[in-house]
Formats: sequence, structure tokens, C-alpha cells
Amino acid sequence: MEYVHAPLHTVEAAPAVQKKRLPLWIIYLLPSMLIFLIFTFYPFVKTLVTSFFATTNTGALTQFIDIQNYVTLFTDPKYLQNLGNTFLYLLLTVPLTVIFALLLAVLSCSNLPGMGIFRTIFSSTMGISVAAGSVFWNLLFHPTAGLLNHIVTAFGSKPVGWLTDANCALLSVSAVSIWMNLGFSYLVLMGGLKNIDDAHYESVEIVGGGFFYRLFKVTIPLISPSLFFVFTTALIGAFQSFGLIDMLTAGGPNNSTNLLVYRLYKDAFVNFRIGSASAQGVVLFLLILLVSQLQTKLTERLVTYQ
Amino acid sequence: MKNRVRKTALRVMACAAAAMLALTGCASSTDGSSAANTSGSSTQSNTAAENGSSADNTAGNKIQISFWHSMSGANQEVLDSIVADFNASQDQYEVVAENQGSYDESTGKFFSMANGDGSADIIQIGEQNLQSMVDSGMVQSVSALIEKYDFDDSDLLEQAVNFYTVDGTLYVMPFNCSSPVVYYNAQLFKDAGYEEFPTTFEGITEAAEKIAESGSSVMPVGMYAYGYALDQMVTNMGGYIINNENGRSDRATEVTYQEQITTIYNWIKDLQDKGLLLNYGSDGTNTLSGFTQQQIGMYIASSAGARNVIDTCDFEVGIAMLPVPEGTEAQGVYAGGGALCVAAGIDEATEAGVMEFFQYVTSPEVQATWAAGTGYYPICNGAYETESMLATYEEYPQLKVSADQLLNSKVNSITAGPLLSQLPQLRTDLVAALESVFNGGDVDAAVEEAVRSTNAAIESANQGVA
Repeated sequence: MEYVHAPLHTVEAAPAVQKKRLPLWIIYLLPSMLIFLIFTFYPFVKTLVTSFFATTNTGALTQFIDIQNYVTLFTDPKYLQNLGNTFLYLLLTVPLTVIFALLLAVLSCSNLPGMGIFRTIFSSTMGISVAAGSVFWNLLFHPTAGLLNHIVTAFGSKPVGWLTDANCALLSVSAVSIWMNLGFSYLVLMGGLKNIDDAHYESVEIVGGGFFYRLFKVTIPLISPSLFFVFTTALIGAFQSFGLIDMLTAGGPNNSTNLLVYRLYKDAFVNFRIGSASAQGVVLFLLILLVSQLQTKLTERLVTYQ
Repeated sequence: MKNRVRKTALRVMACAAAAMLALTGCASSTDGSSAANTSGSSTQSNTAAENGSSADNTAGNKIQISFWHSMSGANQEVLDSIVADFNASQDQYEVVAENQGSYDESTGKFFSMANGDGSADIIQIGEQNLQSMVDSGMVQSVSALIEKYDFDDSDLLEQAVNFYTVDGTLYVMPFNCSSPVVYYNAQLFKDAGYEEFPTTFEGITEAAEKIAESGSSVMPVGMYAYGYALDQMVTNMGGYIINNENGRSDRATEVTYQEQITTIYNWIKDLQDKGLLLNYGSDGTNTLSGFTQQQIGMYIASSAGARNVIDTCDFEVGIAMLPVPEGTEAQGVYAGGGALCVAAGIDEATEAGVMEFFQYVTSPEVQATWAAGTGYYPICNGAYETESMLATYEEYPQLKVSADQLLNSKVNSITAGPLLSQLPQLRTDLVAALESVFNGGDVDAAVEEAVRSTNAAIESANQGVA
């Protein structure tokens, strides 16, 4: 910018003006940088510092205990179980969410009349809040009065403890989570599909490829940027699942649905062990950073940009 | 070239998004209560709107007193009407009541506000938050105010005073007392030959067997893992929940409930093995709906919602005191429920208003109204003799049972109840242990794990006490 303007000024004035002026990019960046610094960077540094201290229940630092908070965490079998639960939950929800969303998107992508109705239905879970969805599913899962157990018993089977059986609870929560997140992923993938030029499909017709040929040789490569985006957001979203857990199981039965974020919340805002909670925050940050980096590295080659 | 630029841009954006999302998770652990905010917000906006309009109407120079509470549903309606009556009764002060979510959520928000602008002058806490509040230094002891404003505290229930006394002084003002009780389907037990509900574990098992034998389709016992009920049952059986006399003689450092809780779990396991018990996980609402729809014959829950349960069920609901094992004398319960804290550092005028409000809500008439509408029991002796209370007990004799459970409780350091900042953690661990038993786990191993987890938490929390 300065370069463009310089010739308009007199020769003597030019250097002075140039010195006074802030580089324009700083002004453009300032609002977002400020928000980032105040609401993200500062709390993060504070969290990092707090994690090395014993704290009062209001978060004041009382004594430096180096990595003791971390040692306590990683020697706590319950925390290790939470870690395991979180990874299991990731494996259960992320791939299935994306696969189901892709399937629905491919199926409802054609321009047949009435397809709009299906698209509305498939993306409708986006409009449901976690709280409302949880209440609704809680009714379905009810041990004695729930619809699901009515169906199961009608087929002569024993009622299932959807949320009360330690072997079953994480599966149930994962199912609800997939259902909840399907709408968003579906919508993004749908957008990707709509961007594919028909010419590609016409070429397939000429070659004589079938449905799977079209899917794997044309559709998936061409929407790979959308797929990558959906994968990443689903992964991070799954790491940070809170609402469903809080509303459906409160981490039970016997810790089997207790995920990292829920445990962090309980320690920070119910038990007020701020030091330990901060350490958990740092661990979670590192984990997400690591996993999303890993995922980027692994899938990078598979993503093609037009 | 263009490809590469877009590619890098996308990668940078993805990583930035990842980091941002991750960091917000950490951020809330130090400065926010974003998560805690969500659940109470709907009710909160309701009351805020109501209070806002009434404040406008009465405007003038009334001193506003902010009152955070955790009452919801039917109980909130009763509380709102009591506050409205107080506001109408005098022209100096106006109490603005706001629901701030559960006791734990409300306490968390109170800590985050650091007594700044917009924080509460009065905050209602649950018994599990007492030590945390004392530790925080953000509330003041009520006994100093009692002296300063010549508040008559002679009529307060001694059991309630016993619980809320810390280091020899009454720290917070008792307001809503409750304890866990047994709710049962009276007709079901009558049909099985029980006019009176059994008082022992063995008696309940026997009754459950009879109900099952009669071919009834109702599951005799329903249960959800409820930490408050579990530690009250330990108290009732005469056990200290934590060491140093329930944390009363010195700061507690470990749990001491092993013997009693093992007995309780073994009883539950026996019921379950015999096919007489259905568990609802840790979900009290689902248990209640199972009970009202006559799918279970009895369950244990707080007396706080008693009035609502009795009104909801279209069959006769009985309430009985917590059972004990045969041969054990019931000690009674500690006065759990809620109480009112006064924020530290409020100005003189607000302070006077707070005491005026306390005078009002602890008066016999108001306590009788409060108890009749909810299921809490009055915290002043006078309330039990008011005509309205007597009439209520005439109409709902069940409410009298839960009140008697407390009134007949012995007053000693066992029934003073636990004083522990990690009481919520202790209960979470007891719940997890019971859920493990529900799922067929070994009782001793479950208790051992709960003890380990709670003791570690207590140690870590004590380390931070200034």
C-alpha cells in the first residue's frame, strides 16, 4: 500500500509519513488478535501455569508442586479409564458419522422430485440442541417405560439397560452422538457433492462404470476436501463431547462413559480441584493437537484440490 | 502453484481450528463457567424477566438484594411466591431471586464472580458445598450478623444448627432441610400383608420376596445410585463418613465409611441377585417415573420433592424412614438440604436487608408454607405448631414421617454430618461403586476403589488449602 501511495507525496514528506504509519496488516489483524490473546492465549498460559500448582478451591495458587498434578493423573486408574473411554468413543463415533453422512448425501444427491424432503429430514438434526436431543433419547432409553425396551421385550428378549449397563452405555451414547452430528456432516458433504461438475459423471457413463466406480473413482476424490473437513471437526467435536454425557449418564455407570472433558468439568466446577483440572486441560490440548496433526499427515495425500 | 497455496492455507486453518477448539476447553477451567451456565439458563431467563418487570413497577429507592437459588419446578414456584410476599410486605428492600442451576453449578459461578458486580448477596448452597464455601473465604459467618442484628435464633432446629455449625459458630442460615426417605407403593405392600413398612434391610428383602411370590408384575425394589442417600444411610447406621469426627474436630483426611457401606452394598447385591431389584443407573428422574407408572414398588430419594410425588401418583404413596440392618439402632440423619450463605464484604444497608429477609423466611408461618408446598421440613420449632402445618400433616401424614426422621435424630458428632470440601467427589465415587455392584462387580473391590479415589482427591484438595 505504502509503495503505491509514496509517489503522490512530495519527496521530502514521504519518509516521515512512512515512519508514522502502522503497517496496514496490523490494523486488519488487531481485532482477531486481541480476541485471541485475551480469550484464548491468556487463559491458556494461565492454565499451563496453574497446572504446576496446588490451588485453593477458587483457583488461587498456593504452592508450587512441579509435575505432581500430572503424576497423580496418570497414576489414577480412573483417569486412565477416561482416556480409554475417550479413544473408544472417537473410534465409535467419528468414522460412522462420516460414513453415514456420505451415504445419505450420495443417496439424496440426485435431482429426482421430492428429494428436497429427504434432504431436509437428513439435515434436520442440526436444528436440535444437545439438551433437547438428550431429553428425547433419555425417554427412549428409559429402563422400564422406554420405547426401545418395549420393542426389545416384544421380540421376547430381556429388557436392556441401555444407559445403566456398563457394557452398553458407551455404545448407546455413541449412537446418539452419531445421530446428533449426522446433520452437520451431511450438509457439508452435500455441498461438496453439489460442486462436482456433471461432466465427470458423463465421462463415467461413457466408460460404462457402475455405482461403486462412480463413488470411489469420482465422487470421493472430488469431495475429499469436504471429507477432510468433516473428519477433522468430527474428531475434535468427539474429543470435547460434554452435553450428551452430562445429560444422559453423568459419566456412569461406574465411570464407563466418563470422557476427558466431562471429568475435567467435574473436577473444575463441582469438586473445585482447579490445579488438577488445569493439568487435565493441558493434557487434552496436547492430545487434540497430536491427533489432529497425525490425522492431517495421514490423510493429506488422499485429499485432492481442484 | 495455486494448488499449493490453497493446500497450505487449508492445513493452517484446520490446525488453527483444532488449537482454538482445544484451548477453549482449557480456558473454561480457569476463568469461565461456560459449561455450568447452560443448564440453568432457561429457568433463569424466566425469573429474570419476571423480576425485571416487578422491579420496574416498584422502582423507587428500594435496596436490591440479589438471591441466587437452586430451586426448580414446583419448588421454585413456592419459593418465588415467598419472595414476592416478602417484597410486598415492606418498602425498604427488594429481594431479586434467580435460579442459577444446581447447588454445585451455582457455587461454581459464585466462585468465578469473585464477589464482583452482579454477584449474589445471598446464595443458597447444598450441604455438600458448606466446607467449600468456608474455604473460599467469600462468605461471612452468619453468627456475627445474628449478634449484630439481634436476630432471634433460639427457635432454630438444633439438628440443623448442628450441621451448619463450623468451628463453634453457625456459619450459614438453615433454610430448606431434607433427608433421603423411602417412597413406597402403600397398596402393593398392603396386598403383601404389610400394614407397616419394614424398618430393616432384612425386613425389606422379605417383603420384596413376598411381593415377587404373589405374582405381581411390579418389580418390588427400584433403585438409583444416589450419593446423598448412601452417606446418610452410613450416618443412620452410626458410622462416621470421614475421619476426625466427620471433619468436625479437625480437617478430614480420609473416609471411614467402609464397614457400613459394605453392609449396604451387600444388601443391595443380595436383592439384585434374587431378582428383586431393578437399577435405574444414577438417574433419579427415571426412577420417579418408573415409580409413578407402578413399575417399581419402592425407591429411596430425597424428601424434598415429597409433595410433588404424592400429588403426581394416582395411588397411595407411603413414606418411610431409612432402613438399618437388623440389630442396629437407627441414629437418624444429618440435616442435609440447603441453607443460605451471606456474601462477604456487602455494605451495611444490604446486610440489614439480608437479615430482614432471613427473619422473614425462618419465621414459623413462612416455614410452614414452604414445608407444605415442597417436602422440606421446617427449620424452626415454632413452625411445627402452626395451624397450617398441623393441617398439612393431617392431609399429608407422609410429610410428617420425613420430618420425624430428622426430629427424632440424635444430636451428636455422627449426626452433625460430614464437613468436607470433597463431599461431591465422595458421593460420585460412592455412586460409581454402587453402579459397579449393579453391574455384578465385587462389593469389596468396589468399596476399595471408591475409598482410594476419594482419599486421593481429599489429599490433593487439602494440599491447596492456604
